[in-house]
Amino acid sequence: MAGCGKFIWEKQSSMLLEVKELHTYYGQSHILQGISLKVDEGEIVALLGPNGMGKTTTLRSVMALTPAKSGHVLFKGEDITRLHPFEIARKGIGYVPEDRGIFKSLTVIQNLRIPHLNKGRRENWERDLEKVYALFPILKERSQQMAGSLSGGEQQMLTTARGMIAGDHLILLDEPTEGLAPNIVQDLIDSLQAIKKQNFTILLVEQSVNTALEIADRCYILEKGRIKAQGTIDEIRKNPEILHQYLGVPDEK
Amino acid sequence: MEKNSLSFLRRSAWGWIGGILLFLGAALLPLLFELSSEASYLQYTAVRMMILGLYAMSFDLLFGFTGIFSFGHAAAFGASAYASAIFFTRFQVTEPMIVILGGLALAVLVSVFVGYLSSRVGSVAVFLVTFASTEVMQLIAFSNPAGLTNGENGISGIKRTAVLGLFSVKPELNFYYFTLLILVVSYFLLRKTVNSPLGDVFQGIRGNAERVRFLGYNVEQYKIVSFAISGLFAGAAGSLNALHEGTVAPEVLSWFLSGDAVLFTVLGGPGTLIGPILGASIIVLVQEILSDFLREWLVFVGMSYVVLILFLPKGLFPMFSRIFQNRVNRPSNLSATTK
Amino acid sequence: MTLEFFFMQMLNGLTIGSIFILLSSGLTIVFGLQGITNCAHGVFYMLGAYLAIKVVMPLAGNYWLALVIAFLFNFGLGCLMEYTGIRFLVQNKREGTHVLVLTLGFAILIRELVKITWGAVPQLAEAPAILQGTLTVGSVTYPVYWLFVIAFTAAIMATLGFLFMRTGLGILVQSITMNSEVTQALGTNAPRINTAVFGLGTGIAGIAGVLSSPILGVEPNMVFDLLIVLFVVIIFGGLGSLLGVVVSGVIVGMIISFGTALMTGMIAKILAFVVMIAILLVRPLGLFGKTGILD
Repeated sequence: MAGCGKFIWEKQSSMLLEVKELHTYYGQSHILQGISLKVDEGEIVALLGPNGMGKTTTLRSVMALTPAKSGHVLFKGEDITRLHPFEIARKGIGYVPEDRGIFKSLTVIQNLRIPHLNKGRRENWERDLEKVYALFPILKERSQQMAGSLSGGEQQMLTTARGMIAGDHLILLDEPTEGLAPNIVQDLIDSLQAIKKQNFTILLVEQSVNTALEIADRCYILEKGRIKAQGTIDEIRKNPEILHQYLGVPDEK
Repeated sequence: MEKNSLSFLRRSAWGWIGGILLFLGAALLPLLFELSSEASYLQYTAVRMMILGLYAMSFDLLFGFTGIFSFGHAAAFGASAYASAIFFTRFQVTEPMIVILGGLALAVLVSVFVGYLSSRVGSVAVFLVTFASTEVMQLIAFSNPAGLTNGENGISGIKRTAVLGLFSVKPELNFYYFTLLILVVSYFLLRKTVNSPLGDVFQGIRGNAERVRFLGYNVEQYKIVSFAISGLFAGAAGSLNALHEGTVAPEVLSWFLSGDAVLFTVLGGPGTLIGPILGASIIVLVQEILSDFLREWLVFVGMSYVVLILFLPKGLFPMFSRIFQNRVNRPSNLSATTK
Repeated sequence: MTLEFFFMQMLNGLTIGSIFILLSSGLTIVFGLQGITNCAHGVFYMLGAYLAIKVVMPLAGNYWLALVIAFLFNFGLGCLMEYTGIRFLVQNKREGTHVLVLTLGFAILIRELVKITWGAVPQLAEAPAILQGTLTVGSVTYPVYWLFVIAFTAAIMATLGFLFMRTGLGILVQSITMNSEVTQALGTNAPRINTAVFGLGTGIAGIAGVLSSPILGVEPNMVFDLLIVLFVVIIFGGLGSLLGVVVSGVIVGMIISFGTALMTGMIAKILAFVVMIAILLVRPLGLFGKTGILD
């Protein structure tokens, strides 16, 4: 029995992010109707679902960009629900927004530097930059170029790298493969798997089910503001009708 | 929004009852004043309240409903006042209705022009354009073009005769009822406008102009229409003012008056139509009482802007109407409060 | 029109333009950062001048001290106004017009308080001894002080340019201007930066007040006349663009200088109105504006 208890305690302490019963509104619209999910350390968790159902809003609520009306968000056990977005970011959560959100009139390296300007950890700047350049060598090549001149795939790399620098452990990724050509998507998937190997935890919002199935460990399926289904990738693969039911994905994959 | 039809009926019923009570009160008030030795003065002040109330209500359409912050609303008011004055003194028109109509025509013209300029730009530029337009108009009035406006001294000698040849508005009491009638009719017309699909577009523009555009509406044109309609009723106020005061001077085009429109509306409650009338009345009252302290008057105005917009952005009227509803409803119906 | 006259007017235009540039820089940057317009901006200019003329000069007699105090005082007051009023409105997601009403209220209030305290008579200050006198180049004689104003403005603008282009803080300001949400999500305390930059703008406005006090008579009524000119400058230059303000400030300064020299006040004002309307219709974005005035 004691062994059991210890196991449960250990399992809890590896939970990096926990979202409990989150309710979020856009004006009068009740977008999130009691979202609960958790992300353990070292995992890649995917949030799937049809468009406009609250996936992006979930990430935004975690970052308090669209603050939740009720519910809780816990990061490393600490309640961060009522904090300002910048305070949440400084706790170590990196945010990679939908449509990339890069600063087009700044250079690549200026873009990357922004999280550091806020954290003041000057001595780690070189180290973080090297880490990021190792993963995305093209960014090193283009470091002095205006971010607006980068291609779509390169911009996605930039914003992901920036999120890595901002987030010590946890990265929130919103639709990273949106609008990218299939071969670029594959590059991105490889990069994300490499990031995972470097002890990053990722909460991913994805429109593309196939991408999610390739990289995620676990999935949640969100529909009309509620979690309708969840499970590990193996479980989902064994029950593809879940995908069909909620995401309209045909039964054969 | 409660779907409880009973509470909805209750709310609109109380709206009607409140309105009828207000109207009865307004109708009986001057008769009450007749008993006082200062009858004319009291009635004069009451008429001023109504005229400025009409002026403020017209601004509410533009600001409270369409979300356009114009700092030049005096343009329509003043243009109408001057047009009316010129009609009377130059063209020898004595019929008040035609004098008013003449004023309305110029007011709408001016409003459409200013509205056209304002419709294509953002709020900073609207502030600038509306302010500058009224300033230029005031300058023109001062410069007495073709001897029409008589410069600094303005036009005087406007007399009140009989409306439609039947009802003389020369006595203050009669003019009071004339003004009250116009005010009530204007209110109903404006209320009908804001409740109509046109009003929905206006409020949509206030909330999210881009979305309205995506829905296929020509936002610029609708903004011009909003300027035109609000200018129409501001013009009515301006003409009434000309008849009431008997003179028209460049002050009717001052930015103070433009600012007053904002003050009345913000104080009374934007987007309520009645609120601005309340706001105007309160300010006129306070002005009369504090007229000895005129030096500090603008300090009060400035502070009011700040305090109101921070703590009472919905104005006083919604507060009053809620109190009114709560007092006459049973406690179990407290959930019927809206705003 | 003689050559001397032309040069005189040009220098006049540059001097007046410098004052406009200093004032408009704060306004335009704050618009880029927060999307708001401060109708009370002219008040800080007025306070700077009145502080110098009525307080610092009589007590300490030091012009340079007046410059410093004008900056510090207006920086503080501006930060206070932003922190207590504007931040409240922005965080409660109020409509844009609310900030206009709030700052307008402040403008009216402070203007009246100054009027009550110190009267409405236009004040003219005296330039410090070193800067008095004139400089003659060829056939043009020009007051040294006015040249100082131009030079000082250039120095301040160069400093601002360096601040916003080369420093970490400047990068953050640029990124907040481009996308405030994402910048915050990357750990930036944008509200605090917004407040500080707002104060910087109003502080510079205070400096402008001191600078112009020996040239233009300062009186409470100018708060609104000035505001209108400033709006024209920032809209013409392109909202949010510092470079735009520099170019536009010079142009507007020139127009006013030549305009008042060549025609009566009233015609000049009407002409200015017509020109402004033309600009707005033809090019609402101004010279360098990205988002322009189309909200």
